[in-house]
Amino acid sequence: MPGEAAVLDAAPVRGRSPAAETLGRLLHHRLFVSGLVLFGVILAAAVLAPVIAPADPTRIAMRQKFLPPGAGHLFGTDNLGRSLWSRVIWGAQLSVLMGLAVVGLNAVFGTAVGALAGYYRRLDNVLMRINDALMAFPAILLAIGITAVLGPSTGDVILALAIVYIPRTARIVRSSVIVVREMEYVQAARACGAGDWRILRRHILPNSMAPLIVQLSFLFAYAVLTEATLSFLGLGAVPPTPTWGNIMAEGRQYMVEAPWIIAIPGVALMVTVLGLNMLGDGLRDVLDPRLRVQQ
Amino acid sequence: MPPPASAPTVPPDAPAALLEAQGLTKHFPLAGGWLARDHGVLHAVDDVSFAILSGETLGLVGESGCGKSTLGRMLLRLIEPTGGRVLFEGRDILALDARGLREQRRVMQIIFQDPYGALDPRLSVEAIVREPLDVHGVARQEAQRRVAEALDLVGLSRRYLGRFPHEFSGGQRQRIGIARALALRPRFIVCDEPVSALDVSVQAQIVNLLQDLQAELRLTYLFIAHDLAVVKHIADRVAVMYLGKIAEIAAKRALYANPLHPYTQALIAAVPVLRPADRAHGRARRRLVGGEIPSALHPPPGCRFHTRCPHVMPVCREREPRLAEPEPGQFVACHLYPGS
Repeated sequence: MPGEAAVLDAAPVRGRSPAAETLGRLLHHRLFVSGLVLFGVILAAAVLAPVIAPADPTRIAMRQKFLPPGAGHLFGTDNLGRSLWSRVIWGAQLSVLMGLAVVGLNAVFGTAVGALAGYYRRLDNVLMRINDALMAFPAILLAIGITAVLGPSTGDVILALAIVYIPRTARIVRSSVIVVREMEYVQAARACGAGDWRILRRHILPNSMAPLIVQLSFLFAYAVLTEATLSFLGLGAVPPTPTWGNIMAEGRQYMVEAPWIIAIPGVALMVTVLGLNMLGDGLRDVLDPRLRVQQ
Repeated sequence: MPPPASAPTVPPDAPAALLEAQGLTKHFPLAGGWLARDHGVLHAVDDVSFAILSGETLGLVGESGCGKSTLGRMLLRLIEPTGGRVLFEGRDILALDARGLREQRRVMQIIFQDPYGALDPRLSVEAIVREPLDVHGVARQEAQRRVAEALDLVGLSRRYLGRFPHEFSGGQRQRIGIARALALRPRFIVCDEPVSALDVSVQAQIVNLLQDLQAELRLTYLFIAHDLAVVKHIADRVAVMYLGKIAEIAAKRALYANPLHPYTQALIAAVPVLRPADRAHGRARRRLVGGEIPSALHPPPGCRFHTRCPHVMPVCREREPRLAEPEPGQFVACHLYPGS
């Protein structure tokens, strides 16, 4: 900004913002970096799916069924001769997209509900009782119930998972908003005439983000895992669209003859969840050490 | 008939009051959610009246929990009073609508106790000091100029504009908070224990800075503190608060030389002195109060200080004393003095 320099002294001291400091500490956190690498592998596979797995994951080749992993088919083939490499990679894409969608919906609506409940005490009771009602159901049962009503499709699974997890996210945002709202810098903003919206946007939300970010990284793992569970039960994306869950469901019948069919998507799922959990642990250690007790 | 709550606490020939509180009251209802019944009412501030004269510093002293911070924040409408009026230059600020209140906030500001909690950790010094100007739509160039001006006033180099609060010491942070309060060029500032959290050496610097600023910018202060030592240095008049009530309010000299209320006497006796022998002549009157401040949930009937008062009389347990003026300009709420 050239206009500023004229007004200020010649050599301003650039400060290190809290965000920059946090990033520096994260990159030195071994668990975080390991999780980042594990999840990065899955993320890369998902993004590069058309390049690294050009074979159609739904193309049936009965003469090549039950080929074990090897030179021709890196991950082998399934009971219909479909390339498991393609299926697992494209399944990764679906899982990642789904996770992102659920995380995105949570970030928006969970934050909105949590911020409203935490900031406007009058809304708190109403919003949190609805929240509690939703949270009273076990996550997986509620998700099964919602998908059963909506019907199995990718969009409906995303919606179901969002409905299941938004109350949990909202509660976390609410609790940190309640803490930040009482800080004196919020009083100071009010004393100089700032309105609610400005205070929320500029002071409260940025300072309540740490627990939310931690929560969202764990949520990503839960979403991927729950989606796999739903597909495994036949409530996810409709076959032949490959998802880790439905690949495993089909592979279950051939577990003895062709164990790789169930094992490979299982390992992919494990790597994803492990990576995200390590990532989340790292974020929690750096951003919000107090949470360590709760989890 | 008792006199109205707005009994004058300023001699008639004094300069005009900049700010006047009349019967200011704050009760916090303690309810435990919608299923729970009412759990009682916290009497944080009860029917408090006083005036602050233009250009003076009124010290406000009392134990923690006596309602002094609540009182200070009610003057700025950071806490909405349950009852009473706040007049700023004769205008009732409790009657202002949102827009009027925002304009009013230009002239009245606050400095906080905790130099760590009072600055948003995510904003640079420039953003913090500029926020009041942004809120009031001051143009960019002008705002930059005034931010620089405010930093000059509090003795911070402009080179620190890009720095963040965690990179400063407590005293420097307090200067940033003062700069923010000055950015709008206010005329009245509530100093809510601005030095209580600082090292003693830094306390003096900040108190001196506040005094210099007052002289230079013709500011009026309400200076809240929990001990009389700091207030003795900066205040012109002092109000002593006990459990949501004003016990005594008087010019500083009169209050320190001749404290009338037993609670004020006890507070002054509690100020540590360098050579205890100096205090020996006052021993006859020197009495430290024992016990704890009673709960503001159930304030004692009658005089609120009667549970700890060394001079307690039967009337103290029954009738609440009113502010009387046994000495000119010295108001005290105590049954020991006629008129209470």
